[in-house]
Amino acid sequence: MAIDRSLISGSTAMLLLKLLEKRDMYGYEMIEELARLSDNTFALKAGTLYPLLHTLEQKGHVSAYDKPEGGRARRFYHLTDSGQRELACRQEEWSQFSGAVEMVLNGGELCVCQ
Amino acid sequence: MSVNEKNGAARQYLNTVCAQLRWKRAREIVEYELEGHLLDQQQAYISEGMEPSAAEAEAVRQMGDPVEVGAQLDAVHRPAPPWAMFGIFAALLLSGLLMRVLVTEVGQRSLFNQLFLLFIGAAAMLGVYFADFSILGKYPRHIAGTLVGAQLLSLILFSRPDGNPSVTQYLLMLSPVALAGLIFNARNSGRKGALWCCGAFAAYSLLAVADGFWSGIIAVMLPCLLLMVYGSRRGYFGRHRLLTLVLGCGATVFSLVLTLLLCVSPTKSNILARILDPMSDPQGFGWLPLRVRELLDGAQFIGLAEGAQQVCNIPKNDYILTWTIHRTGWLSLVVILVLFCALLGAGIIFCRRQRSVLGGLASRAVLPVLALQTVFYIAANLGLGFMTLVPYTLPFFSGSALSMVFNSALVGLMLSALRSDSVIRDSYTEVAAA
Repeated sequence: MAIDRSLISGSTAMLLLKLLEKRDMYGYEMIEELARLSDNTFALKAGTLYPLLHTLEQKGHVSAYDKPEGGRARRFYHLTDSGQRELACRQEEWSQFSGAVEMVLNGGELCVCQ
Repeated sequence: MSVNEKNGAARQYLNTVCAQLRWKRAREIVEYELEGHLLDQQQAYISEGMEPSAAEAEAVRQMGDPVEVGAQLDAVHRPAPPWAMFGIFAALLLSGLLMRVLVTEVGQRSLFNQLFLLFIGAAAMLGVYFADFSILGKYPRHIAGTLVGAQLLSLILFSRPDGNPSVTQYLLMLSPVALAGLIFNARNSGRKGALWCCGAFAAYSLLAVADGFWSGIIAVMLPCLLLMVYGSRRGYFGRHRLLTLVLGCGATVFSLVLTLLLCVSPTKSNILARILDPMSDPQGFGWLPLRVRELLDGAQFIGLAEGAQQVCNIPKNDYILTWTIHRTGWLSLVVILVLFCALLGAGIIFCRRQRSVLGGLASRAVLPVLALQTVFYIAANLGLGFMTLVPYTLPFFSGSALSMVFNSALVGLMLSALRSDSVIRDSYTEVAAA
């Protein structure tokens, strides 16, 4: 089922930071990994990814470097300490948000997942 | 690969995206990254069984609308002019103009010269600011080698006019900048890169010794040594950090020893002693410091010095700060110190924030050179013993066109590094085992 884009756009930055928490990645690799982990729910376009990555880099949440891989130099991204804090903050925010949405959908009751 | 075909869909896509970026410096990095992505996507489709042309078309479709993508990237990549630094630089230039006009009491003809000096200072700064400073990192060995050649030629061809800084000294003061490029390059070059750095450092140090000014030796070697230590601590020399440090320090020690030996030759046996304590030689080396102190003796905090009728023979152009304090008071020194501290302090702050390795090295090459000239000149103009023998100019204040162009260009280099910080890429490749 295709997901409403407005639901995705607000959390894309958080998802990218989460991917980089595991290891440094280059752009194409991030799109592939995101699709794999989400069972193809998140099919991020490159045109969305790179402006977002460059913005994160400007804010200091990620840093970039070139490294040879697969026969040519690729631009890898690395999560910085600032990015780590930003990720933690956004995860907390998401947790509160999703919890509240879940409560409303369940008629005001907290759903304890089995 | 099809991305390189002039009229291919991928090339057209990249051209359209890049055309949306108003800052041309950013186009290169954006194109590089998107091109790599297209290649990866094409390869993936081809491995799934698609025809190359179909794979290219689908890869381009997956990227998204090129105008929209380009506009988003344009919004991210904007040059960030360091306005605060511009303001400080302008204040220094204008203060320098004011000081020269006040001190030299110029007529209309000379006023034109002073304004021209202001103009060439601004032009030199802006010229370097808008230039692509990344050539320092792209052609470091060419630049370093050319500089050594120019320094050698200058040493042979140009004598020092009346003890003032010559072309040679300004060329020598470019040594840290050239070394910064070599250290940046050493990150990818293993032992060869480390040896280039050591060799250049040794060459610059020996040329500074050959030039004969101890202050020039310090102004060259100290910034270079600081850069080498910084590069070593940051791991830019890889496994060869110890070797590089040893060779670098060795070159420093050797040059200093050579300088001392030259000073204690039979014909110069007591020159070193007289230089260090000029008051012991009031008619010789001590004459100038004594005159400077006389001029400063009656100086007030604001206003003309007491007993200002005395005649003094120290040249106004070389001791512009001394004369300014004499005529307008110590407040002028306070103002100058505040301006220079602002320039150097802001430079240090921006330097530490820089993400680019090359930009950080370039800034760290410029700041000590500016600082040392300022310290030497102020000390000389306050009559601090042997410092009066130092012929340095005060950046942006002294009336020398060479000094104005040189120092303004250095500031332009530092500001260019700051401006381009977001688009300069520090390429990294694994260093092969030496």
